[in-house]
Amino acid sequence: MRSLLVSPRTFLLIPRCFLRANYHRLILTVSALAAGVALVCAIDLVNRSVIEAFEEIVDTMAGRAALQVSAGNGGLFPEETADTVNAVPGVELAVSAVGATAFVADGSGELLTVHGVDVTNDAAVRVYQARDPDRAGVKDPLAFLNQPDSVILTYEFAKRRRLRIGDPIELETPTGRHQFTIRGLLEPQGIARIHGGSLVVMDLFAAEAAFTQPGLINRIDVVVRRDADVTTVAERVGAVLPSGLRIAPPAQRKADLHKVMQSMQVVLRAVGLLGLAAAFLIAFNRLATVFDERAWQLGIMRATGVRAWSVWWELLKESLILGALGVAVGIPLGIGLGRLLLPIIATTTALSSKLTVPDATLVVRPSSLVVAAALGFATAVLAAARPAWRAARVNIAETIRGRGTEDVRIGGTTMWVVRSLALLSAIGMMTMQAAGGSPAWSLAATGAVLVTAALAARPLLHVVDIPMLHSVSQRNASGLFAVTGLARKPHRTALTIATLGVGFGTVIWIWIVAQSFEQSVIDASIGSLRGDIAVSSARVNDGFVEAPLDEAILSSLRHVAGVHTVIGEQMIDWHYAGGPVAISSFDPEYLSTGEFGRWTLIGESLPDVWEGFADGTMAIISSSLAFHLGTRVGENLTLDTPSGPLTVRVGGVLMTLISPRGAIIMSRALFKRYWHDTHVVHSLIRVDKSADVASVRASIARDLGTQHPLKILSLPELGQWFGEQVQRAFSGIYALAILILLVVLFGAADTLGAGVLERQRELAQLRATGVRARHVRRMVLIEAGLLGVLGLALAMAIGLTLGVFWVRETFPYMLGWVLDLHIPYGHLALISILSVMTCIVAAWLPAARAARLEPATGLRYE
Amino acid sequence: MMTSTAAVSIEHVTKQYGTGAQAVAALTDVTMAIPIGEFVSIMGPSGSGKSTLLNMIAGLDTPTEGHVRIRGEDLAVLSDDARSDLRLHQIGFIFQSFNLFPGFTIEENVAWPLKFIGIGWRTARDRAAVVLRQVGLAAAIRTRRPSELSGGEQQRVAIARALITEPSLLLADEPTGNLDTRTGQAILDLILQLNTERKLSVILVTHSTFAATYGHRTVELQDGRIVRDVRAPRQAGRLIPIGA
Repeated sequence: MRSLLVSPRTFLLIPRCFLRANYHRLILTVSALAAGVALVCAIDLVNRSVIEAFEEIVDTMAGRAALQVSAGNGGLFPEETADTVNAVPGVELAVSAVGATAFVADGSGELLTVHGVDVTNDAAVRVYQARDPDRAGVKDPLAFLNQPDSVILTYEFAKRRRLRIGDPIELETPTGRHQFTIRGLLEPQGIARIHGGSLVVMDLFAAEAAFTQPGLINRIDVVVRRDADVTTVAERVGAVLPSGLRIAPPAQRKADLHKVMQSMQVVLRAVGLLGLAAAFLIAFNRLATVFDERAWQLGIMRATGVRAWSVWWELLKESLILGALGVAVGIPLGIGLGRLLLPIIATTTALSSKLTVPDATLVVRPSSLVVAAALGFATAVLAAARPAWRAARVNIAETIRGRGTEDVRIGGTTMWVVRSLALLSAIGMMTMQAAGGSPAWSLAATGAVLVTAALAARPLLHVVDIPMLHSVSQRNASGLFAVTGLARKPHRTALTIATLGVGFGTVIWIWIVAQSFEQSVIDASIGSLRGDIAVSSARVNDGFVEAPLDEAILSSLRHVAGVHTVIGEQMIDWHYAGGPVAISSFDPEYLSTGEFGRWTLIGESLPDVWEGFADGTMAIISSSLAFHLGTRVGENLTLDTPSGPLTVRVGGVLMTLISPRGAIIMSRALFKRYWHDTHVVHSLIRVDKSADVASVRASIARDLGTQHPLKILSLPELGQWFGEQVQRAFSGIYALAILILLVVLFGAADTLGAGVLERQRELAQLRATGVRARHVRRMVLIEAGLLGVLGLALAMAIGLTLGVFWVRETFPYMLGWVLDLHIPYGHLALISILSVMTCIVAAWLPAARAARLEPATGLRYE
Repeated sequence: MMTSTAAVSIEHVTKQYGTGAQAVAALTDVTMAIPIGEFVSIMGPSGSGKSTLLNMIAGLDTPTEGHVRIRGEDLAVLSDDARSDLRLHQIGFIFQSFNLFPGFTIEENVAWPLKFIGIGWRTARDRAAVVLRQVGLAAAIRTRRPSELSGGEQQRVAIARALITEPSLLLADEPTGNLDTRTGQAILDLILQLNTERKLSVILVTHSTFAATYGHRTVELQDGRIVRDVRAPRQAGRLIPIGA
């Protein structure tokens, strides 16, 4: 305690003196710590900023509204419902609204959020904190209301595109391209501030015509009286709403948003923690080496009378200095990295969560910095704790005499107990997760797997030591020295292998998860979508879902030369059994005629499933829904729809990945009847037998391309497109994987550099006895290669274990997705080569240094 | 029975390494007492047990049998921390290879033990300056590193470090082993001076017959046993005058 009361300079006197001689050797350790801190800091800042950007959209779009009435995500219901809600005691105002997306039809495809509201209702406009039409710069309010093509844009958007009031603007809507006229400009406040100005406000009537159907809206924003209790009002409104409509506060929507985005955030956090784990192992390894080298000095301290714990504490203070340096470098680096990663992660999150990409700004929160700094310090201190304790407890007499020789045993009973406990913990946590766990269990299990693997490095080295010695040493002398060099310091070698294993294992894990996701999406889309050509909007609405088109596109397609049959598919997010699901619907003849083939259903199905599907009495459910809700073939499902309850019988189970929690697939005729939705996202086409697919595609583009921006693909191409969306969704994760590889590169270079420094005398002796420089260089490179191979072996075990665990257990239970496991063997081979190459690259400088060593200089070295 | 006023008393100390058929005796039934202020030279060939005996006295190693007492305190009953405290306050250690910390300045090398006694750093530095002057080193070297000094200067710094806590017992393990004859003699003269002026008990382990002449008494070990324990008239420092 006494030492805590002195000035920092005195407090850190001994560690500063010790570190003074080692600063240059610890640069890479500090770099690794800084990289780990930067990763955690950047991920936390980005995660918070992204979620905040999404929350801001929810908040601002809701304006003063405390409650929102909706029918799933975009489900339509009659405008008159707002009158019903307005009559509920406690409701100050219920505003009918249409929320949609449109795209600028100038080739850029810029997405605009459409906000349709009754602009004649001043009170309704004020709900969104926007000025009324007069003040919003609408020069001619009468013309605005009389002309259904009137729109109000934001000043920012208009300035960007050099547009003025009175100018025309062409927008792509589900019914095709339409020309609108700018009647006013909004100040950058309220809803005009969000979306980076990419907002278009139009009158409710015009919005209904362009995006829903006359008289049908998709949202009611409810303002509650100041003296009324929001929960009570919500209950009252819920009681008068037709089944299928839900009322929820924006806070609930934000909670739902958190849940939806949880998958990406958990993956990002896991990646950040793995980066920190790699940094921990690098720091642990390096500090163990530094303390080992200094063992005689610690022996002198002990011989002089310094207590063991005092020595330990002084060593721990060194880790505090390293941690401080790592944090000092890592925090600004993390903020910079966060700025770079923010747009990538925002896009990744939006894609994976089927949301519109927000215009996110990085907000540097002190709490994020504190968390990253604390983790950085904790990493440094924990990394130093055991090596320091080991160093402080050395046999004083032997240490002074022998200047430290490493114990080559692979650990006593205690270490085997620790290894066994780690293994049991990993199995236990994975079992808990498999039994329906939580993100915490998943992250804990991932951590336990890493710890177990790291602890297994030493026995692994012991197992391969003898064969490795024989096979490599018999080839050449450099190999013999390389193997001896590694075997002489088994503790450090094992730690390096563990570091490499964790780093490369993380990359393998990410690749397995990404590949499984991508391939499952392709398989699922190919499995459910049939035909020769798939036509959809070239614009993406939310995440990777294409913008809907009006079903009129189907009849237009039927008129194209060479087209035989056209089937429409519509998809929406809905709610069932207390959670989100997707409703997918296909025209009845899709499955009943057999022209498009039949889906391969999983397990048993009802004999008349295709007929039942066509006549609307049966639905098919996704394997995710069957998995999560335990729904079985033959059972009845009752859905709340905007038109009242709908009961259908489950006819079969299909592998599809529309929604994590599951999907219900039904006839589009039935869907239209209950949801009033006449949009389609995909049009599936079978061409005439005599027609050429390529020429039909060209005809479609020619005939309909002027009206709609279309994506006209063959089915395999569509599958490929879905795969590309998944790749886009994982692009942020890949960027992080590369950062982890960089951390590992530091670690490998650090260890190999330390090995060369430590053996200068021995290397000089080799050179003095006539060994050529290139042989010495080759020796270091062989060491690096061997470390890479062993690290890779461990990485395979880590990567495969975590990959299978996340695909099979974490995704289905925690995130919803039921995926097929796809091991990317080709990529694994590539990663393997890259891993070994990484080690060899890391060894390049140490090898060059070793080769340059002058025999006389080296022999003088002490 | 040993007297309780002895600086060091060693009673029937045996040290074995290994067990059973592989047991090797480093020391066998060694008994001796070193009164306060006595300068004892311990001689013997390599492997005779000299360093083991020194380690037992410093509490760095524990005897298989027997007792070692420092000023009456039995090291066997002391905890590791208590033995550390005893070394810190009562024992100074000098090594053959100086063992100065390369990253520390000379002043820091001398002063650091005081930090663990709880003495402020400013006071510790002042005291280091005094001790360095006492061992014959100029103030100018205080900020230099060990690698910038000669072997003799380094050993003087090591002696200063051993003296900084004002111990009553100085253990010197081959302190001249790495020095040339003249420098070695100067170091031995310094140790002798400390013994004479401060009544510091000194145990000097050495191979050198000449170095052994500095002691009041010479104990010779062979195969872990005392084979000779003689007192001799002191001739130290008279064979080769310093500066000749």
